[in-house]
Amino acid sequence: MILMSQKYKVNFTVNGDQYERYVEAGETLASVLRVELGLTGTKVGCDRGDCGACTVIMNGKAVKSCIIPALKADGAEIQTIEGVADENGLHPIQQEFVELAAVQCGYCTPGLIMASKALLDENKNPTEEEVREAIGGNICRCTGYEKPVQAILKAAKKLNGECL
Amino acid sequence: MEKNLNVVGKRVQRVDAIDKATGAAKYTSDMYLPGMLIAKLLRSPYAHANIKSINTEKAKALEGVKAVVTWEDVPRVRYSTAGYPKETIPGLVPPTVPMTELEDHYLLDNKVRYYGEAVAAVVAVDEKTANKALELIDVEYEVLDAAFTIDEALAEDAPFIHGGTSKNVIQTEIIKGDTEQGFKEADYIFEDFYTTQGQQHTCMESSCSVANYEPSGKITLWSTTQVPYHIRRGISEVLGIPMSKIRVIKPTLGGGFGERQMVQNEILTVFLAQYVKKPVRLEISREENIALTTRRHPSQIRIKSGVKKDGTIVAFDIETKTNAGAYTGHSPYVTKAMFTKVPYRVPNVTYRGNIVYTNLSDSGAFRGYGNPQISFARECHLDRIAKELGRDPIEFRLQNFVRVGERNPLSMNQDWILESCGIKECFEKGAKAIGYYEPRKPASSKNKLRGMGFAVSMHVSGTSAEPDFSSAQVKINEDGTLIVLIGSPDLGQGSDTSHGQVAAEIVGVKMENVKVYSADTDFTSFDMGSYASRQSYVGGNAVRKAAEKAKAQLLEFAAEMTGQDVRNLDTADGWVIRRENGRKIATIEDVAHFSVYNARDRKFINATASYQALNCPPSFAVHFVDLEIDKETGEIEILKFVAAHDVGKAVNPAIVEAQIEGSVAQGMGFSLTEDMIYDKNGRMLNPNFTDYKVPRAKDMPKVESIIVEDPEPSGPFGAKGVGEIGIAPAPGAIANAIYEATGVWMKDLPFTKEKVLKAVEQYEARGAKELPFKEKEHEAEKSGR
Amino acid sequence: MKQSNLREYFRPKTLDEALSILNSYEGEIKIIAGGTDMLADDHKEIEALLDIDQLGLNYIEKADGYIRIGSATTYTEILNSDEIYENFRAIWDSASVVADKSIRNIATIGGNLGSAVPSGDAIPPLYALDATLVIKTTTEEKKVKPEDFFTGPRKNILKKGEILKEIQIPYSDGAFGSDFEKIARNSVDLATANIAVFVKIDEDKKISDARIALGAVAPTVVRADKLEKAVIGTKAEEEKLEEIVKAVEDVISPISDVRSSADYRYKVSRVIAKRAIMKAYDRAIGK
Repeated sequence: MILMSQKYKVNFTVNGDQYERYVEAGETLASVLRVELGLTGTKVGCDRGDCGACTVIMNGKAVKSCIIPALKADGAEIQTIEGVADENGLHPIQQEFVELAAVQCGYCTPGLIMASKALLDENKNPTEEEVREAIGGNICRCTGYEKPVQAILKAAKKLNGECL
Repeated sequence: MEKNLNVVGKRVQRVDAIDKATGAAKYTSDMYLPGMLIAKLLRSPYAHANIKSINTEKAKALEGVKAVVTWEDVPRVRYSTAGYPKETIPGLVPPTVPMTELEDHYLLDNKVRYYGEAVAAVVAVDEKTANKALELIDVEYEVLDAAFTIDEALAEDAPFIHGGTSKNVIQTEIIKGDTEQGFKEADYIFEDFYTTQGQQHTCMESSCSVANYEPSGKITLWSTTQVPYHIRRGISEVLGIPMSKIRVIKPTLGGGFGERQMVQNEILTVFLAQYVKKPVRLEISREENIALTTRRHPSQIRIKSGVKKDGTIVAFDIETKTNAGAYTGHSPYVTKAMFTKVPYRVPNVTYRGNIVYTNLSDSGAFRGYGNPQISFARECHLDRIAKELGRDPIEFRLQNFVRVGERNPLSMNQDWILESCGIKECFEKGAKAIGYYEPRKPASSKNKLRGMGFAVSMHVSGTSAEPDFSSAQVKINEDGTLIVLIGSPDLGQGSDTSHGQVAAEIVGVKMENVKVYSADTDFTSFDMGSYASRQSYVGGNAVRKAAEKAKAQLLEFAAEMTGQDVRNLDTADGWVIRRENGRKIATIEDVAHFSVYNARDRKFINATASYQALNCPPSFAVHFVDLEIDKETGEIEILKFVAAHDVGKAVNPAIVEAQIEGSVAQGMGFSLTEDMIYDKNGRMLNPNFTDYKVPRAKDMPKVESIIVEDPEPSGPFGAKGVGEIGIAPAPGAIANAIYEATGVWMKDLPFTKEKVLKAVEQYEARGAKELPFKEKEHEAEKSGR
Repeated sequence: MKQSNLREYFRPKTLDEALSILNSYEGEIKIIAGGTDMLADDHKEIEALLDIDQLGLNYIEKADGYIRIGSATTYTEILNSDEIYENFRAIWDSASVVADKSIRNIATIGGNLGSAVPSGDAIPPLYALDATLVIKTTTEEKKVKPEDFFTGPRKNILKKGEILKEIQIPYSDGAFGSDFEKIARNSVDLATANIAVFVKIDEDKKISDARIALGAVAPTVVRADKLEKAVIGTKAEEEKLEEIVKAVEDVISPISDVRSSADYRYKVSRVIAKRAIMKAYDRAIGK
């Protein structure tokens, strides 16, 4: 079999669960998440790091999983859109995306939420400029960004305990 | 009596929002069926060539390859990629064009007409093997001369690409009144020439089809489509499979914008699944998506107007040349659609369209369907006329604007009357919000120029060539909750939610008790699809009618259950109530339960309704922009963008705003940065988001949406279309603002920094004078007859 | 499966181990750190990847008279460094406009040097700030200047068996300032043209030293030596600069491509030269 390539063991934590998988050298994190783990909430919109639909949080930082070799994620802690809501329900960012109709076709939404969650995880009180910077790598072709930006800002206020 | 609305007009939560915000929504591209094979397309490295031979032996021999098919293997059946049924084709194009020129596409052909056209398909166990197999196919081409631009294809010695009314061209025209006479009556004649570029939809989910073949011969297809019923018909016609054996499902869809208002790879995918008798997935890459799927038609537009001294426009002579690419697709319809979307009451109009075939992939439907091009040309041209005549540009537009009671300008073969028009209110509110009549504010620095401009557009609520058609079904479960089924897909715009609101309002249930499903050809009822801004009006009316029928059935059971006269009953907010005083007498839940368990003549409340449109009410919009230009780099900064829209009635204001904001973003991309650039072999040079520049979060200004509601009598709750119109005014508004800033008319889209810098240089060469209005007034005299 | 002929992936823990893999691997092997450039496209020729993200090469450390930036330091790490913001502002500014935030979280400054694209935003500041690049082989540590490192578009002097280890940038004394400017088509883009400027001023607040480097307008980043000389003695007055920035045209040789015409690159190179000199000067005088 000329196409068979060596498989390498990779261990990582996804949404709190430990996984061990065997992957080829050229496989991307996005493809392993989607195909191997069935976590299809992570979308692939361009497969070359331009559009951000595949954004996940790896070791606390928003990254584009379509240009991360799966083997680079060995030992990493990864959060995907499926791990954002918890037993208490939706995360405030998700709540506000739902509330403000910041979701249209929804294909870019997981990426937008992961990029903005990484921002709010480290900066509870971002300016609008900082929000737009944080989602600068995420292309949305439906919303014109207005409602997503407002949703993220409103979620930040909610996380700060401000009454809305 | 006007009933209070509980659901319609409210910002209710979108029915799909939670699934989408949690990653739970399943798109076609999320389908990984057990045993599924991967299909890939071999694409031509030449823009125009005959295929002399294809050798697939080596590819077939590769382990893991299940099939390699070429034009010799697929049915030799022509079809139109536009997807419209045969019956609707001839009315729109000159009868001199034979059907074979319109149905001009084979699944795979022995000739290629554009760079990247599919030559063969491979089916393999995985993507890597499929890609490897593509490399092993040997194709011998006889390369032909090619033409890529309108001018090249129209040249005397151009290669023959496609037949029409003449070589490489389909000509079409609309004539109204006597244009020659009109120009004789005019005091001034103005003429301008504009060009527009190609634009790509770039839906965030690339096109994907997954077909499952069952041993019984039944095929299930999941696809990123806007037109599931047209796809089913296409599969049936091309592959000879009865519709009962074809099920087309549109899962959650990652955008449409017109890209999926056509046959993509659905028929081919079904063919391949049938061929290998296994599930097959054919997904195109982002590069294929940007370079090879349909684009907005690049165009050349010459527009000539005859105007009286008092500002009345008495004649229009408009000629367009559009780059159709290699296949007809939507081109005839897009071209004609340009001509009807003119909101001015001009008595004498000659409109000539030249649909020009070239060796590019085909142009097609894209949000606005010809409107952004024609609105840009017309609104810049009218602004110039107003300014040269020393007229207020807004008053000049209003003076010539179509009025309620007159013939609906969208009417082609019908005698529809315009019954609603909120343009005046759009102007008033928009002008106020941007400060159009305030003294202009100075630029923020000496290195900047500042200007303000606006443009108007009118768009459809459904197809206007013939009365549009939709059907829907409303079912009431035994607990009083609703299921709404409709065949026109939600692409992300939110039509499922709006339809649910209409049904909930009419039946009288709470929105959280409504489920909406679109679309599955085995279960939803027939529909034309999602396009032409038809959902709110045409689909909405079908849902309204079905809901009214369901409600009538419900009230019959309520009367039986409570012993009251049905004529005294109504519903609201989950209750059956007394019509005269609103007193609650039974829950809808109890009545629904009664209908299937306790009634004398038990029945499941289930109503289907069809709606044939009685009109095609135009929606109207005016966009205002205030911008600054960096004199040294040509960079445009949008300081404020105001979009005022007459939507008849906003069924869901949040969704309406979202449509406006999103279409403005696409309109800004079209105006400033998006362009499709080809090399001399017709290969696209910028087929990725690195170089195909769609707006990002930091590129977009705040968009202030103003919703004007002049109720449309024939619309559900007064609603009309809103999905597309917002993309059309932006280029004209921006160009008119650049003019105010520099005194230079920008006539070639897009307005890149480089082109704007050239305008600034012209401005400085003239001595950096303020607006040349005054001088131009004299020029107007000269340019008059 | 994007890298269609990739078969092996190495992720060593030490620099020595990495060098020995490089030396012993017989096929086409490519070094990645963030991998964001490499993974964007299919590189059919590549058979193996050597991932250097575990070698401890992500550091920003003060040394005697200079700062050491490990080649695997991400742009985000650079942006989080007050030391860089205070002393090497052009680097900080360039890091803030490379690609987008989620790329900057993983892409590294060394990666930009390794890729050696003429438009790389991280590169002009290294020329302007007089950086030295440290290359490690199994036997030695070589030091080279950026001028000698880049040899053409996507080309540098790195040979198999060599790893770019760190970047050393000297601290300046006295009053100095630096800036980075970029022209692009929109907010996330490769540079149409970019520039980094470093100036020092004397007691009279006149420019006494200047280093200016332009990117995306020649096969490699180029120093504008004539312009550097011409600004000396000025106070970066805008009117004066408008004339003297024309000197950039002597050193740049821009091409026309999908991003821009050569003509526009000529024009805006002058503009960003002017703006960057003024901004660097303003920083030098503490404005």
